[in-house]
Amino acid sequence: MTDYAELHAISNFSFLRGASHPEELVARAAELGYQGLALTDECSLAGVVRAHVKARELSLPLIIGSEFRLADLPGVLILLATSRRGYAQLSQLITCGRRRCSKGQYELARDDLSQQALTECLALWQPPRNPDIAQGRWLADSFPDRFWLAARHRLVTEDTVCHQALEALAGQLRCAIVATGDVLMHRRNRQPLQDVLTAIRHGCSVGEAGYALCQNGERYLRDTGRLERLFPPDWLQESCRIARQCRFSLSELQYEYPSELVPTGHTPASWLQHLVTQGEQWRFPGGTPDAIQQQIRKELALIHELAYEPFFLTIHDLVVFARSRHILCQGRGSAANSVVCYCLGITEVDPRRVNLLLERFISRERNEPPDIDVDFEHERREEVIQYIYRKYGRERAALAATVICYRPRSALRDVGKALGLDPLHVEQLLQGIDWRDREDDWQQQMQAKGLLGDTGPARHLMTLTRTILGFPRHLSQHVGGFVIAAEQVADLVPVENAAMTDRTVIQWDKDDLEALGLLKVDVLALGMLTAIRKTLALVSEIRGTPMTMADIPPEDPAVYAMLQRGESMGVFQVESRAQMSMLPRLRPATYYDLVVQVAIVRPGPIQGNMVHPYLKRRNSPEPVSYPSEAIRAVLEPTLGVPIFQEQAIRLAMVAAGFTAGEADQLRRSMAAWKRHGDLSRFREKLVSGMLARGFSEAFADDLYNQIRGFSGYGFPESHAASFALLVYVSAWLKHHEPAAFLCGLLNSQPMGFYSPSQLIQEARRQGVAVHPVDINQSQYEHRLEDNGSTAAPAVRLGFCLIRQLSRTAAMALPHVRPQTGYRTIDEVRRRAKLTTSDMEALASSGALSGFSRDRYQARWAILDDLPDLAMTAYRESPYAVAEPGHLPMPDEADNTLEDYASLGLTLGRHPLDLLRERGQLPACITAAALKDLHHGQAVSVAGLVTGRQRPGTASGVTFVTLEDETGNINLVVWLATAKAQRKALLNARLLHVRGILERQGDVIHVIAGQLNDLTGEIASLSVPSRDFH
Amino acid sequence: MHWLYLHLPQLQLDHYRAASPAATPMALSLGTPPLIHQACPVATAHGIRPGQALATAQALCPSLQVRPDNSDHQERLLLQIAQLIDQHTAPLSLYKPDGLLINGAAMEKLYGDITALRQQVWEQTRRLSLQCQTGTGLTPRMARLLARHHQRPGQDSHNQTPEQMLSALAALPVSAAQWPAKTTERLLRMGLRTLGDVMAQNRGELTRRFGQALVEDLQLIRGERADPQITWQPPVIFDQHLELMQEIHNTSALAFPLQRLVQALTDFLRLRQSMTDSLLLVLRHPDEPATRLRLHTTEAGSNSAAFMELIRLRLERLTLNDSVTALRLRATRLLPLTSQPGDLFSATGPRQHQTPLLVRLGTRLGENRVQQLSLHGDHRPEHAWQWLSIPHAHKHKTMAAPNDLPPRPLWLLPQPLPLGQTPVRWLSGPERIQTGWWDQQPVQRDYYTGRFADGATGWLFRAPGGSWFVHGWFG
Repeated sequence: MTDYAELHAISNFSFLRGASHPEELVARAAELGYQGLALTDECSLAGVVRAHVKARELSLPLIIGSEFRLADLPGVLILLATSRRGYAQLSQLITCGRRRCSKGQYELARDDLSQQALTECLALWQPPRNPDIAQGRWLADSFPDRFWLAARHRLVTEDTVCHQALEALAGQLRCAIVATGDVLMHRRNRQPLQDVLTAIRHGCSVGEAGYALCQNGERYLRDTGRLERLFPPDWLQESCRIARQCRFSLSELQYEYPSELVPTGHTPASWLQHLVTQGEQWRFPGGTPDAIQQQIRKELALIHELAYEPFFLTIHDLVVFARSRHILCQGRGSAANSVVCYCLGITEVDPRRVNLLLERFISRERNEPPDIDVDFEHERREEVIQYIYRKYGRERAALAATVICYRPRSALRDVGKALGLDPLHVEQLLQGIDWRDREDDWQQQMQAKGLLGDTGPARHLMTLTRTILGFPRHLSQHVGGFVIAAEQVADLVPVENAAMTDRTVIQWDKDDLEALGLLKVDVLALGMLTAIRKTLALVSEIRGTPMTMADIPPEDPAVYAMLQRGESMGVFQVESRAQMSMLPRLRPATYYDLVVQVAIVRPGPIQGNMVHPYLKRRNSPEPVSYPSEAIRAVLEPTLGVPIFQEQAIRLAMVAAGFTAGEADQLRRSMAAWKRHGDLSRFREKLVSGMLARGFSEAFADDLYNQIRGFSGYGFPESHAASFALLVYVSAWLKHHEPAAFLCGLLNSQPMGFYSPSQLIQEARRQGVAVHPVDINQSQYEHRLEDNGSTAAPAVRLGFCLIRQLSRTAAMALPHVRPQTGYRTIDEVRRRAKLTTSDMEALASSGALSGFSRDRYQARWAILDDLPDLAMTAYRESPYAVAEPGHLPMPDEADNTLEDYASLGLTLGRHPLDLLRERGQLPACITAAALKDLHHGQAVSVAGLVTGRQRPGTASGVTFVTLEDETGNINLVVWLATAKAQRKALLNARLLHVRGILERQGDVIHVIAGQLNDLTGEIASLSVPSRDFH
Repeated sequence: MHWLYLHLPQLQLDHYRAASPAATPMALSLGTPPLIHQACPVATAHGIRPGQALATAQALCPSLQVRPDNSDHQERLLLQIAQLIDQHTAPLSLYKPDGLLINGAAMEKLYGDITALRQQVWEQTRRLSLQCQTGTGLTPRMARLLARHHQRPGQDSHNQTPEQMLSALAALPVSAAQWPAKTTERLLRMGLRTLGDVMAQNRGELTRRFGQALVEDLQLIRGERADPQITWQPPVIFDQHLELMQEIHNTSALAFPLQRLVQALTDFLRLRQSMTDSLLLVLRHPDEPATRLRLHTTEAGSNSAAFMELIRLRLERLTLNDSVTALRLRATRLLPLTSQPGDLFSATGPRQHQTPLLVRLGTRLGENRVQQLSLHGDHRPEHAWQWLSIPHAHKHKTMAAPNDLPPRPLWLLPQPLPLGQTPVRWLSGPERIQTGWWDQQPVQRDYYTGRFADGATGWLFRAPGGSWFVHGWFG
């Protein structure tokens, strides 16, 4: 058998060209006994890490390369990296070609090859049909002794002819010829898919693609027997000679941290030690307790052993910057909740309040890189990103990529089009499919529609769609994962332009980075931090003394009491409807309860059936029994029920005897569940491991199901611990400083689950005074109005709330306002230089109510197009002379509707109140009155539909939230009801419901029976005013 | 003087519904991703509304039939209805895409008053199962507004007296006037909700706030301003009969009477600056059903000699089974006369020669029997070319073939034949063609060129089973 290495193969990371995953190419090459495989995606290294991981597993030598089409060189040029330096050169060349073009494009010319050093790269040229000897000579001179001609044999006439020409050319250039496969797919049976990709690329159907398609399916990885028949032996042998010269492996890549973070005279370790000692004095002014000191020593030793100091220093630097700019931030993740991070100020989780087990967070056995995500205020994260760019330069800092892949919907659309199906037909196929169900489920749903014929192109639709699923489509930017390099990022991985201007991304995503053990710094945006910072600033202002998060007293029972009542609107993480109904059941009373609360209302624990057992144990005085001591250690904090992702992993180790490496694989599979499919390959090992350790089969099955439930949805304790802190802080602010908290939330929109209208209604019900937008009182933002030291402050709505009022106008209005306030409409317009539409927006909001009879009159006055207006320097009252017009007078309902149109909310009466008063909602009970009714009672309710969701975890149930003048009503619509009355369910904005009240403790639901769409009633509110004439 | 306006809100849906069971819910879609554009009454009863996503619509009504909105189709339907109505009433103005306006004053003589006219129109639309709303008004604009927006959908708003009309008009919401969205919004947000509210304002004050256009439109509506209408002209067709004095038994004798008809046609065309490219000639017989001959030219003309030649050629092929008693010549497709620049300078150009030859061949042999070869982008040899009939060959755009197509034999056999003898020399190969999986005619073959003992060069292939075939011969 002849030895052969494939030196020219592209994967599906050459988007819409390659028809196989990198892993598939590697696996097939290994199976065929190849001596090596070069992955040569076009001007891209995006697929190499996946190939590397697979090749490492199968011990196949993987060569890193790339193919290029140059603007002024016909044919295809393939460059292969021989060494770490050659790899950097290749990566730099790709970066150069990509950075000068818009996203997804590249452009390179011969000049670039001359200018970029490519001394440690090999060049293979696949010349065009009639090669120009001068071009060849130029290449041969540019790559002395590193230049080959690449021959291919696709069983097309052209290639046979070319072989003779190649030999002549090789003689003239004195170079050797190497056999290549010019591979597009790992197996021949991918040809239909390859044709489909070509058609998608050309925006036509396969039938129309004509000669753009390949003539046959020969561009696959051939077995060596075939290769021998197609190529002369020395051409084949040459491939192995070349492969042997390429000694570079991605394992050699080392992440070199920026060195500037360590002052001269210090090592990273000594500097970190120094910073931690400083932090100790800040965090523990009374002296660090012994246990904590011991913990610090252990942590630092572990960090040192794994050489993670620069990573902690990098994050510390960002946090110090944010703090200097008064940007709130908080770290979370496996390494964040360490005492070291507490001392460095990366997290506020006080180790004295939480029992931190370091091994739980960083594990030397598990060999996973430390994970620290830092959340920043969402409105100011950009400042941090700009700081990173400023500090390290664009060459040294870039965002990780997110690989956008084909999902069922996009795959069906594109494949359908390529098969020439009518787009409308494809849309009809897509309709009503429940995508959340398991993978094969949507296919069955689609088959069941009976719209797919057995003949014609449609019969290929499902097969091709299944294959194309998960194919990468393009690179997008990760939400905030930065890679910061010591020298240049492009030495490590190519950098290309993102769609957003001035953003660059690397060609690898976070899984790639993790697979190579490279670290990234996650700079994320969190709206709640903005709201907390703004609230604290308001409180400080009102109190006259600065208040920070650290000043918030811990474990306030009144705060927990509020949460136990389910009053959590606006509170971080626990404000959703599901969380709200969980609060009175879980009844959190301590910080750790909040950690559990954050993690438990998630699809993972719900699908793993962990919620009810946990609640049951919480409310039962009986002690929990554990099958073993090891399991007790893992599960005791959560009463024997696994709630966190970490527990699932640790259980696999202590109960099923997983090694650290296997547990790590399990963790990755769980995290990448969407990408790789199932966990079933772990099932056998888990169950047999547990049986061997004497656990019952039922126990083993339960545990496996729980772990499976976690897949993709499990929430880590390390994140929950940080989040819980913000839950507590925001709940404390809501309870003790409700006006400031409302104001902070309103000024941080958009964020959270609820609209300003809902937040304001809730706050007013809690007794917070809210004042309307007023031309002479409001600022741009919402603000607190101090009502003296005794009375509670009130919230004054700001100009920013007015829809259709431009931002500049809203900013200018308070800025140029005279000390004594504006006196006329004209003065407002003139001073703030407002456009007519700005003035109209003001009039609609009611902010001008001091100047005219009503909003109608104000609008009428504003529109008057007096030509001399601009030239008149100042007139006391220009509208005194204008005819008022025969305008009707808005009534209360008109004003309410106009409030909604202009502000999205009203401070006047709720529309439901008006309807009720007019007798349009006979026998309807208010949300407040529901609290006094019994379980099982029949009720009629009505409200504005503010939420309508069908969670994947609750089969077929639709949850609807109705709002009336007294609060919210939670509606449960069972599947049958929804089906029978979907018209009202889907369309209604005002819904009337007859149903049965269901009460579990303080949690009240209405089970919907009959639904009536009353949307028309809202419009009818304003009808009577027409009788004014 | 009154105007009658017909609003046909769902022409396309009405058309589709006419061909479906009565209770079928139907809707039109528009855009990508498609949204519901229009819903028929059955669909509306299911909660289908314009603007809904297809997914929502399907959820509300799984049996919903959705067709894409087609503005060309809509226009054709409107023209058809105009034609029908035009036979009974005139003059008519077209309001694309969904309305017709009838000048009632001009019809007064015929129908007495507008009620009878309205009755007549209603009957027409009912026969065609069209949904229709009518409105009568003092002005075209008023009639249109009242037809499109009246209080009781599905019925017409018929107002007898000017007072009734004006009061109905005043009650219309301002949105009915279809003024610019900004204007409508401003009016509504000042509390002016109806046209009456707006008309009650001082015109000068209105102009200062909303500009001249609004006030001018109010004047149009109220008839204070002239609103000239463009009267629709039904399409002209040529259709003449000629009863023969004597029965004619052979086709050559038809030439003379035909000459008269053709002359009438060319006069007709000249008068209208038109030409035509298709004729229908009907020969009526005493006993047999009429013979209908369709004649097409590749290029439209207006020349009597050319028409006569065309007819003569066609008649030559015709065997008369019965005598001819009457002739009818009909031309419905009238095209605007375009000057032919070739007349002067390129009268001898190749195209000029080619076309009449093809026309004559086509006329003689039948249109589809004169075809020409053209390339087709496909790797499979039997799909790499195709026959196109002459009219199509002009229009057909062939996918540009690459310059470097592999060598193919000039003589491709209609069916590959099993290979009988072994070539003495192999010249080239293999060339593998394996494609066409999508249309149930997949091909998997390895092609070779081989020379036979007799010196012939064949294009051979081996099928997957190992059997050999000849597929063509090189010259």
